[in-house]
Amino acid sequence: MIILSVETSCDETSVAITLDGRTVLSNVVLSQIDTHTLYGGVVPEIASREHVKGITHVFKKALKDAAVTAADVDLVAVTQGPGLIGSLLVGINAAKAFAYAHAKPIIGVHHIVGHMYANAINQSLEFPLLALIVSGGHTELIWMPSHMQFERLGKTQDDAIGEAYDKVARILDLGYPGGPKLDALAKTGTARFAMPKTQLDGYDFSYSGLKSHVINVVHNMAQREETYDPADLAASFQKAAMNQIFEQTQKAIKAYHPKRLIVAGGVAANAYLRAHMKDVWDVPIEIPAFEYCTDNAAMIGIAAYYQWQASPKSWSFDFNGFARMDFLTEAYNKGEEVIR
Amino acid sequence: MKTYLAIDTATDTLFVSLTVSGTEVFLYAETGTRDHAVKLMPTIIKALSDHSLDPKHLEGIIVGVGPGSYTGVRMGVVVAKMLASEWHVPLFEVSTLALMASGCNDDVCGAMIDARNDYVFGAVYNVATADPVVPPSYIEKTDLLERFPQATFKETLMPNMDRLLNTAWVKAVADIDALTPNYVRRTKAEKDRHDS
Repeated sequence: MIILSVETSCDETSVAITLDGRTVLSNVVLSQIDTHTLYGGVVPEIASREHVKGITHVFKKALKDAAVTAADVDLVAVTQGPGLIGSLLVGINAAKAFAYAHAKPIIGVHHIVGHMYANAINQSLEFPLLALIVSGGHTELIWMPSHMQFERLGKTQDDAIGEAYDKVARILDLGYPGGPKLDALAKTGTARFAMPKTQLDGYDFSYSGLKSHVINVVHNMAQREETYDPADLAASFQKAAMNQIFEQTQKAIKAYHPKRLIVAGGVAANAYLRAHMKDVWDVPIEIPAFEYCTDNAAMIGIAAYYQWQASPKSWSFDFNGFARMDFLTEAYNKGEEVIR
Repeated sequence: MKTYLAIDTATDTLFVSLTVSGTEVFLYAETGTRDHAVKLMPTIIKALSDHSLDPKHLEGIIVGVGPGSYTGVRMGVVVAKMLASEWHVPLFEVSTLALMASGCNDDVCGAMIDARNDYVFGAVYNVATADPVVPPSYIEKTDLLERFPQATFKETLMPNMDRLLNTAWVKAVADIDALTPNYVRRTKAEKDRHDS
């Protein structure tokens, strides 16, 4: 089954062609990073404008790179949410028009489900599995007894980990995108600053206390006119932030005994996480290749394949995009309805 | 004979029109719904299927490129770009303000869309030639009205398709991939960066 998938939930215009929920035939990602760097972060209206500029070209390039024609496509899939609504609607309308033009079925896919299924590229998932989702918008532990079955074990009570990285990077004046820059800087520093340890219930996470602490440290030192190495502060923050991920996830591994732990989301590209995770987690770990950690349409095509297996029915052309939406519902599994 | 699909999503009115052999056979122009994302594709599909029109018989797709609602105008433009690309049908662009003014029977006619804070997106046209006397602009409403005290200003979208198809109101799009809406205004971030 050949799937054409579309992802425009934030600042990457991406279209991919995937085969049977496993093989990526093409994955075109038109990044807007240079544009948003001018503004120190993603400007939603500019992101939407950039998507319109690139969208038809990216469709054509994805087909050409995969050496398939529109007629070869069996299914069109598009990120329905969550994300920036203006950006999502560009991809959704483009996908609908393409599907209609070629009389193909179409389905919407949850962005985070896509991130999880980035781990099914070139391999089969082993169930039951535990999914750790770490991104700019999500920090969650999800239990998956089988394909397209999701149970949330824990989530962040406040900021997502990637959000905290971006905010700390901003305080340290590291520029955009903050997360990767902080990760790189931390590598050169020593974690010599004491960081608070948040008391956490169950499998939840919390990053606002840690973030505020770093902000206070910076302000206090500035007031006292003390000099410090930002790399040391970055290393201290990173160690504390990742320790929380390591500990909460290990707690869930011990309680649930998954066959695999899959890591998903943009923060899965973090070098510190990748370097230390095997020492901490007592289970075989799957983590996507770097190119499939950040937003991309290939992961949406892989998820769409399994979603279609569960419910092989085209959606009606009146489906909308949602800035916020959940995936932990029977309805989503059936592809019928989505909760905002 | 003239067979065209026309779309505009830049205002509160979702506009979809199908003209077959010079006669407008389908018109959807519902105002105030604000659910273009939900209704746009189903309405286009209904227009074509109600009249069993094979897209390859379309001489062109006409799309309103704004100004107006940013999120709204993008939907129509993206759908028009994609359908024209995939069906290999010529694409034509027209200002949303020109679409509005085309429905006017005066010699000189204006159109405006509320842009908040006493500003509008406005333009004024010579209706017979489609020449813009004032091109689409972000302008203070009182300023526009004072400059053209005699002109009628259309504030709703009810184009005259016959006039649009027979005079110079619409412009062929040479590079479909490159077409973007005419937002008229820069984003606040761009403006702030430019000003600083």
